[in-house]
Amino acid sequence: MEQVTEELSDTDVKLKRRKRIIWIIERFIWIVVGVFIIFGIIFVPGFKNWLNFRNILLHSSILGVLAIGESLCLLTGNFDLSIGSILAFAGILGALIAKWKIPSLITIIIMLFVGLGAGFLNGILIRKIKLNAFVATLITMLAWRGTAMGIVGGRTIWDLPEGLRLLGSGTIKGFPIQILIMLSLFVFFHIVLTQTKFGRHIYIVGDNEVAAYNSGINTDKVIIIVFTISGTLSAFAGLLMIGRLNAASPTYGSDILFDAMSAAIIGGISLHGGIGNLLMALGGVILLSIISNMLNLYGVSPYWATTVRALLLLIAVLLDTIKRRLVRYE
Amino acid sequence: MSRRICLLIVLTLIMALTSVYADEGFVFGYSAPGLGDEGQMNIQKGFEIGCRDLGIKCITTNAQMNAEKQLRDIETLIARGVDAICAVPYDSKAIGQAVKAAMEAGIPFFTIDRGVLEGKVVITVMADNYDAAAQAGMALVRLLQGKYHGLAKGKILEIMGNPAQDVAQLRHQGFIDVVSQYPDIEVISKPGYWNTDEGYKIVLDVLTANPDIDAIYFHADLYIPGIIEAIKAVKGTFKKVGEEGHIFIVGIDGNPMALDYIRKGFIDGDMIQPLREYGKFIVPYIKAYLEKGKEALPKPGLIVKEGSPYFPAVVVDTPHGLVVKMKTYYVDKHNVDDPTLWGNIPLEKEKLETTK
Repeated sequence: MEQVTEELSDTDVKLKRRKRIIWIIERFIWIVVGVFIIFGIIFVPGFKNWLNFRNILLHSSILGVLAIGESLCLLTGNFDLSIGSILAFAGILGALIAKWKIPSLITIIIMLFVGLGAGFLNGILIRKIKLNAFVATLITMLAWRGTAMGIVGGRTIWDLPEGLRLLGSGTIKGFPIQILIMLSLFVFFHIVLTQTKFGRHIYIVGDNEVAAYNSGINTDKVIIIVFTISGTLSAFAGLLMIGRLNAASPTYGSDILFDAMSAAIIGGISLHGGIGNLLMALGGVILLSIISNMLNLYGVSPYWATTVRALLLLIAVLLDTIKRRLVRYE
Repeated sequence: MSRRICLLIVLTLIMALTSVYADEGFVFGYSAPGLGDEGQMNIQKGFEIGCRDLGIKCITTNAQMNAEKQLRDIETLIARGVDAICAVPYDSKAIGQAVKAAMEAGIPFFTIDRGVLEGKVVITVMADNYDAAAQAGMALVRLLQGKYHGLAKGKILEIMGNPAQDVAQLRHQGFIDVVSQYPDIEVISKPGYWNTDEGYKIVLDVLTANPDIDAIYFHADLYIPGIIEAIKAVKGTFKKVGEEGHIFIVGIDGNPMALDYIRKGFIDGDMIQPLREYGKFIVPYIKAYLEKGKEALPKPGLIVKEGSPYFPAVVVDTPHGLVVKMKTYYVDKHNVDDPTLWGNIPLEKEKLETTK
């Protein structure tokens, strides 16, 4: 009898330790971020400055908004390659509409609806026409940027109305609105993912779609909604982008897809779906932003900058392997 | 009987079609590396204008920033039997294969804006990027001397293009070779990869860490909106040209947007590239070459053209063909309203018949 209780308490301890390790693993990217911040404070001139931390968050804002949508798609086990193109298309459209002296609020609503429609189209192509997500969003990626280029013929539109720029470049008591928006979107979608039925369905679909379907979840609906969210957020990122640059060009956001995906993956979201959360993605976004900020501050030769970026990423990923070792240790 | 009639109809149709092609005179193929940015769009339109003026038909392809697609595009142009091919190489080395294929098919090859590093073309016409950068450097040195009572000193932030491309290298080297003669000028160079948002982030970070930046030199006009907004974000306000605390901003291209910002006093000046002139310049040479052969080509030395700011152009004979380097010139608030600047002539006014 005594022996049994002892064994029980032993597994109890093991369980507790396991929980603690999982807790650490889920937040591991933030440890890496911490290491990089300490490294920056010691070695990078100009890093230790409140304004510089604000800059890092400014680097993160647009990337962060896109990374939320991309992460949701990845969690269901799908890629969304069209985010950068929807950003460009919505941006161009918004800038053009604004030039017709239409109130900014209406312009913004039209932009968001265009993003919503584009995301919905992705979802329909994938679930109803049964295209592979990679192929479907590859097609829409080409289509949206191509259309944006066709409409303006490669021209840049500049000098946008104040209302359209407010979210991208406005400040509240000196603090940029775009950062507040990015952080509140993260909080909102984190709550959606962890506290709602829909959030749980995303994980279940990503984990095992057949099982999800068998247990009565409308998998088509979940995935279409996720892509619609991603499209809307991409258009929103487009609004932030044209707002903060006070200009719109069909080339905007052309290499941001890679950053958004790597932020999510470095953060720890699985490419196979079902594993990860938005705090991890936020960590990935901040990490990438710290690296690009450090490169701007540090006197690296411009010809070596790409190599140094690769090295820093390698260090980040190597730190991440400690996490995997922790898992094995368990 | 009916079969014979059918055959007859088909034959007449084919003959009619071929005769239409034969009647139209020359057909030129144009291979663009990508048409997404203002610069490439204007170069392409300039070529179209040049062809239109001489009644030449032009087939345009767009490689969408893909070296491999450009090769396929040019193969298609060869297969369609164009009389001459003009390309803006996306990759100066990779295009060598296409140059060879065109040569084997007996089609003369020309390039605009960028040269080739493999094979030999008939003519390459481009801007003297090194000289443009050097002139921009001189302009900034003069502005700094004005600020510091004759002393050339201060800190300049340089936002480069993609350092892997020769255009960015020349625009860097020409600038550095001028400002490095002044030991009190410090230059911080950062690669922006021709990305507006990257330029914004560079200015944001560097200006926060170095609030004493005196001037910004950029490699392409697309950086301008990012530079202005980043200065606003860091400093809280933007001081215009002539105001206390203004950061000098000078760069290269000459887009309508840049001219507008010069006019409004946001940036100090811009080096004007002859983007729309390339095509107008090269098309007559291509036609003359097809009609008269080698003697129609320009001879190494100078090409003088009265009244045009892009001349005298320098002609150099290189292992990769003749290279014509057109001049660029500096525009600031004094001459920004010059109606002959291409940035002041809307494309609509160039009366293009075809907008493909």
